[in-house]
Amino acid sequence: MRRLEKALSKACVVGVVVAALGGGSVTTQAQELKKYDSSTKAFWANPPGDWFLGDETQDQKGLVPNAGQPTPTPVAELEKILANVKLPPGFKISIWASGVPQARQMALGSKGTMFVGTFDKGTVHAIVDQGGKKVAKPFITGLRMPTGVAFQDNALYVVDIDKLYKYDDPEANLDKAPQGKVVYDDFPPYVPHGWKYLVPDGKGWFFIPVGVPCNICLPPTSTAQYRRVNPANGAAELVALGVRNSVGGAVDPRTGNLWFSENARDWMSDDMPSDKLNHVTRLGEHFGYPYCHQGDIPDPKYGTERKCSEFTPPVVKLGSHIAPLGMKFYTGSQFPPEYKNGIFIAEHGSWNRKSKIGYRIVFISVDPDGKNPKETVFASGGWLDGQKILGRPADILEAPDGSLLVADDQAGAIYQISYSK
Amino acid sequence: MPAKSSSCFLSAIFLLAALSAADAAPPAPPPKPPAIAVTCVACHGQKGVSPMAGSPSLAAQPDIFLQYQLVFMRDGVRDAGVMKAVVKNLTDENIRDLGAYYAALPPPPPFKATGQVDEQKVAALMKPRRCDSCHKEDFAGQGESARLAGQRPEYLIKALSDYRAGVRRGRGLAAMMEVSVTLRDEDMQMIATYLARQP
Repeated sequence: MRRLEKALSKACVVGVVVAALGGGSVTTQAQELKKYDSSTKAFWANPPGDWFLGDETQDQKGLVPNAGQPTPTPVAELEKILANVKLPPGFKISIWASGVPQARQMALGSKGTMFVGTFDKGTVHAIVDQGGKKVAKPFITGLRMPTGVAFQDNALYVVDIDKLYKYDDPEANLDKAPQGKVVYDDFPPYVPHGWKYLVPDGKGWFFIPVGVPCNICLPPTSTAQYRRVNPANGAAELVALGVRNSVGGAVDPRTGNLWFSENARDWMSDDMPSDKLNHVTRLGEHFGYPYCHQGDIPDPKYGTERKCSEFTPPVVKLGSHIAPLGMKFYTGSQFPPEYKNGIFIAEHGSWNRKSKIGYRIVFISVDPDGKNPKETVFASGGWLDGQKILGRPADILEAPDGSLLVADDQAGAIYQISYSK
Repeated sequence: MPAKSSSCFLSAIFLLAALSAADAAPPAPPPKPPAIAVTCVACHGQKGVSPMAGSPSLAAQPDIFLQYQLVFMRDGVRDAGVMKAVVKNLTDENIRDLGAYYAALPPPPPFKATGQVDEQKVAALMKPRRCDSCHKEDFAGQGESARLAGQRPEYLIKALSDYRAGVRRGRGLAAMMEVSVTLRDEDMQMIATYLARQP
């Protein structure tokens, strides 16, 4: 590439302008704002050209999204990882299921089957108990990025980029998944940030995020938002705007309001801007993207157009690049009373930062109106060994007995965290 | 455009790398192939350097990249073609062994690809697409991203065409779709020829 650098700088000197990309729509002036033409089919089939590779400085070169792990971590190594996970007194962590590659969102069936989404493996696993051992099998295959799953009214729901599928009575058909019915498909087909999460609203609908197909851009219409979707008839409404990329959320059992985790933009710096925990208190609230980050930092490019005071700030700044994904309110009674109605958040861990952070689970206690938030580290240590990634918490689920289940999409495992005096 | 100053910076890095390489201990003995690797030799070559058109060289590919592709082909995520029968019974352990083995082999020598390469044109195609961000400055690849240097050109063209057509599944989907969708056939030809000739 050194020779290419020279060739290119020569090309610049003689005035040969690089215009090979995208039929002349690409500007050579870095400061000029981008325009999108969403009236063309090509626009919807392919992401715009300023996806996450587009903004790094020379100093940041070499930072790339984590490669993950192609095969699940064997049990003996998992035991070693868990031995290094630090928890508050009285809590312990153990392997609930191993051999669950790319484990993302979890959903528990009414008969005890655990359904688990994946990233680009395109599979939804079903985990069943076989003689006291949890065994994971591919249940649905051939999807693209079925990260989000939910179980409701004896049906499994799977969201796969631009489609919400319903699988009736899955636990009676574990040998062969029933044909999925598309119950909602009015999503853009972008792959970047197209992977989703399902948040049951408790009334039969789902809150569903629609991420932006870029790192930082003026988001195409119908992205950068949360919607509420009724799987019974395909009705949908806009719930929140200005949301960059959320892959986790939960409804507060005290109020019925949506809370969600949000991943902030990359390439600004190692320590800016912070990822967020947000609280939606009214329909159509705007959370700032792309104009304002973490409630108080104007974007270097878009920040001149709007003021931070126009937008809803986060309830908690969770830290830069920590990548908050799955989250749940704790409603059980196994844990000590101070955990009741607080929020557990899985931090998937950083890639766009020189020294890695995250790779842990935090606990947030907060009033129903968002006042008095207090963040504490709940589980940390084993998943990051120096700069080496051994595991990545991706989702959290409360088991019927009040213990916590944690999906790890790097090690390909589900852990159980339980408490006893 | 900061190309000029960054190329000076890069030269310094390359120089340092060369110096430290000269000081390093003699190379490790060649890795021992796992038994399962006998099934790979006919198409991918004795030392992972492919003698067969359409069949990629595997030598010095990143461990994680190799493992992902084997998993995706085994599990039916990536359309495996002739590989389907070969990979269908691989265990996770086989896959980890194969990844480690091929990653440890010395890289293939530059491929004697025919065809004209205009380096200015190649640079104008590749720099804005930031190929080197993931595949590295020397195109040796890293993590989930393949080694491109020394790869057979017709295979590079197939891979790029598959990404462009949206039929290559698994890993890098978003990034590779974005960079390939605006490439014309003749662009791919020139990029592939350039990369194949790299050491």
